Amino acid sequence: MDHSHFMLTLDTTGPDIEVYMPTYATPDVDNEIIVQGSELLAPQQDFYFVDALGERHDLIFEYKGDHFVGLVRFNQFALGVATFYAQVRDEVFNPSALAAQAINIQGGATLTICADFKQRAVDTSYQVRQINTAVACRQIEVNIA
Amino acid sequence: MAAPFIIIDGFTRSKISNQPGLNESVVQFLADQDLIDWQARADGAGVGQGGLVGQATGVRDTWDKWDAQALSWAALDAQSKTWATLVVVLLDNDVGEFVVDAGELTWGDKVYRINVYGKNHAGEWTAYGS
Repeated sequence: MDHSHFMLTLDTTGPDIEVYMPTYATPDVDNEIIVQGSELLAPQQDFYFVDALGERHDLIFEYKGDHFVGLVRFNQFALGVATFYAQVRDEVFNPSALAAQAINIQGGATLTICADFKQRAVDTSYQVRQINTAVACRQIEVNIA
Repeated sequence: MAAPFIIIDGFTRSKISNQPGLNESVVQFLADQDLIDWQARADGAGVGQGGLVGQATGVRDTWDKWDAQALSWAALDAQSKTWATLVVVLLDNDVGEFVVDAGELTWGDKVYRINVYGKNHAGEWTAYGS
């Protein structure tokens, strides 16, 4: 058995990250946001939104090893397009690039969404009062009051 | 005499980067006999091969090396020690230590195999992969 050596990894490049979040939301529902890294991440995080009026909202997400998960409610945000910014570091503290993704926060419609994180977009209008959907089903039932 | 048997006793990190505080791994090892020289190499397949990441200091296994170190007679202390004890740089079962710095790993991002080789009184080096 070989005892006279060990393996040492040199890693000087930051992780790639992807942000999973809806592109539309309303102020009165929780929205799940996932920041997924390409490798094991450090618990250190830098997540924030800049809303339509330019106000910054800092967030702290739950650390899950190679990703972070957060629930965000936009009731303190200005209506309009907000931008989410995310930067993380890998386990040896190499920083990722700063990721940015937009979300359109709309008022007036009540939207109930049950979806997995692969859901990228939900089309709605002010005529829609309720949407019932299921994780495993893409079919949407719409009841117009 | 068999070539020295080396055991890596521990290391502080198995993954390093260029970031402050995370850019080095401190390695400790043991040998089963007195060593008159030792070296640690990144990759390579034998003593002298690969990138040098650690080595014994004050190696004095020849008189030329004694002369180069310009030691005083007091430091030599030849009257109370034999040549066999004077040349030892790491005693049997003493802990040897070296530090691998990210700057010493010159082939970019990858997994490096850090090998430690020891040399005994008979001039035998630890074999690669032993």
